Amino acid sequence: MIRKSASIAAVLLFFVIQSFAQKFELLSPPIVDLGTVVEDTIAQGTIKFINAGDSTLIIGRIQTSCGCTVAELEKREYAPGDKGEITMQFNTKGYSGMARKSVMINIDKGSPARVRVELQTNVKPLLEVDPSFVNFQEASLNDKEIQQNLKLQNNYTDTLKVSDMETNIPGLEIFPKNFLLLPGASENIHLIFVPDKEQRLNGYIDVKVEQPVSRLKRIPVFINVNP
Amino acid sequence: MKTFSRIVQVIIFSLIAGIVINQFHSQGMSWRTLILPAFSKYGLVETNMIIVSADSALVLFNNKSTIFIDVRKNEDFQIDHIPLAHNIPSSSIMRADFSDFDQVIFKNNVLLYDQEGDLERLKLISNVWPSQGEKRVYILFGGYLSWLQNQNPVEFDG
Repeated sequence: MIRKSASIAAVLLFFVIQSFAQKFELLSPPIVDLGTVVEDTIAQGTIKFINAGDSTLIIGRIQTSCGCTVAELEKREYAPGDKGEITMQFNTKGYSGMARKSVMINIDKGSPARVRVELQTNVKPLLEVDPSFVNFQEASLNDKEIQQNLKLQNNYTDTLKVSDMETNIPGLEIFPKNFLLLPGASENIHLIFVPDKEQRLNGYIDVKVEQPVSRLKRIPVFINVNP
Repeated sequence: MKTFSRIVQVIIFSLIAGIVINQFHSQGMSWRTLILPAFSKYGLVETNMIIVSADSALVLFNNKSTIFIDVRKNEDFQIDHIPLAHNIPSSSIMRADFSDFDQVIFKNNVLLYDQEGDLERLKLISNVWPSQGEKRVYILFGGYLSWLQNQNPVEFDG
């Protein structure tokens, strides 16, 4: 008899808890797309949500996947039906191409316990290299030489000065190795490789920039000389 | 001198014990994961690994000649992924734990991709990938993010 009463009480308690649930519901898509931004700027986006339950929702810690991203919440407690916003900022310094950062929202009182949102942006690099790596993987010993062009584009607002281009790959010739690029201008870099033996070589080309900032841009090189 | 010899003995013993325990630990790496990278660095291990751009990967995708393997965590895969890709997390590959996956995968050319294209990690994974026969292992340069940047097709779960 006691066991039966306890079971009924447990079921009733379950329904009571269910009817007074706090539910975090996203009003924005789980991937927040910030579009294209230039490197070294702050990209900002917001996540909108609602407390779709019928008792107060309490949001706890908000964690981000790296120090480059911060997320801020206007308040922690949300009454039933209340809408809220989480503002997220992503510092694109050092990034190029598509970037995605995770924001984990921990919910102290409510369900689900955690909600994950992705912040996505396409970062246009200040020194743009196209293609992003040198691919000589289909080289053959029958080839006298293999050539490829790399396009370097200056997306800075000042003149860019490349002082040198170095590689650790023996037999890879690069020219020109130093030049000036006006804002918005681009330069074609000519690469020549002479395959002399069957081998796999992975290395890089370092682009040394002096102006407007001193920096080193590394371009990966993959070579595979087939028989 | 005696102390030095004792220290060396302890280090060697610890190293061997670590390797043995690792083999029996549920989260441990397979012996191939531990040993092969050391040899592959000196070109002693044959590998068919080829690094491809997102453009080339799209050609492979359209040819349907290659199986795409997403080595990210399942929670990342669930958000979105390359259509028809199989999710085999890198942790499973490191442990050489392939029993839960369709064995047909290993009889085909595969393209391995992660989120950002961590080449060192992907090379390690490709070294322990259980290819059967003369099958190629492609690696996506720039990872899933470069696929997204090229605006190639994606699939969302749920």
